[in-house]
Amino acid sequence: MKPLQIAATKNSPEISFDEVSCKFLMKGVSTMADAKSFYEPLIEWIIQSDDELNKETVFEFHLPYFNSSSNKCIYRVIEALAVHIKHGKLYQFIWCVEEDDEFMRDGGEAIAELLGLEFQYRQVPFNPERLF
Amino acid sequence: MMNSYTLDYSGALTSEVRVQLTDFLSTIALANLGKRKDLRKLCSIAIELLDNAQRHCTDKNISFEWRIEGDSLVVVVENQASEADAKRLKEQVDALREMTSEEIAEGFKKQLMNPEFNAKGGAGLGILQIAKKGAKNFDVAVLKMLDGAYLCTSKVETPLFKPAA
Repeated sequence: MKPLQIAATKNSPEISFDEVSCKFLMKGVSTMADAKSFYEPLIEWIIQSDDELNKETVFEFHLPYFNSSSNKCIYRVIEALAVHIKHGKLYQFIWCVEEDDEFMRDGGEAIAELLGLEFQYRQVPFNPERLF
Repeated sequence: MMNSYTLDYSGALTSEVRVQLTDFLSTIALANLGKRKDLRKLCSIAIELLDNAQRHCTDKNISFEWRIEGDSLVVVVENQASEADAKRLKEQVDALREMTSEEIAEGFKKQLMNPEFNAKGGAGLGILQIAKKGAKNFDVAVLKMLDGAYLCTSKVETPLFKPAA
């Protein structure tokens, strides 16, 4: 499996996968204008990793803010993971929400509902330094 | 120019400028609206309008205004656009006005599931997102200028309900 380690920028999230702990993390804001180009390689990585990812991998999303084109891409990322679940994977999805922030909760709920997945919502502290 | 209630910007809109504008917006929103559950939701309206302007502006310049007016948040973005893009935006926004909140939410879900992006990288969600996030008055005015270019002015007013405790 190809390693996955993308550093965060001012408008794109950190993305990483730790093969030892079987934990995937997407963390940070996602406000780039061309979201499709940023997320396509990740979607491809997921498609290619179907057989290799541990059955009980944990996918954690801590996305304080994402624009609507990123929203569609994040949906497509999780949709690709939902295909693995149909193939028998037992992935866990953790969706972080900063102190009941409506934007963050609504975003997760819409994706989970449309894909028929169960997200665990984890409350994390509000970070006023990083609203976007 | 920045004062306690307003953020005004006129000039080039690049990805770097957009990052800086959102930083300013973040500071002003927190200072004036405080830490409230719908803070990001309110600011998302301005960010979506900026995204839209960046994708469609034909001369790379915009005018952006974010202000608190009484009990409303007002965002105005002005940019030049092609005739087709300007008129399409106006038609979309006019059509939104006829839709119920349920229809808007349904339209958003349908578009979220649609894997297509337009030629300029848009997901077709921004306008629906603005309406879905509580915009009360959303208007687009299109003006043909003397040089034949089209000026597109998008204005969104959102009521600032008292945040839940």
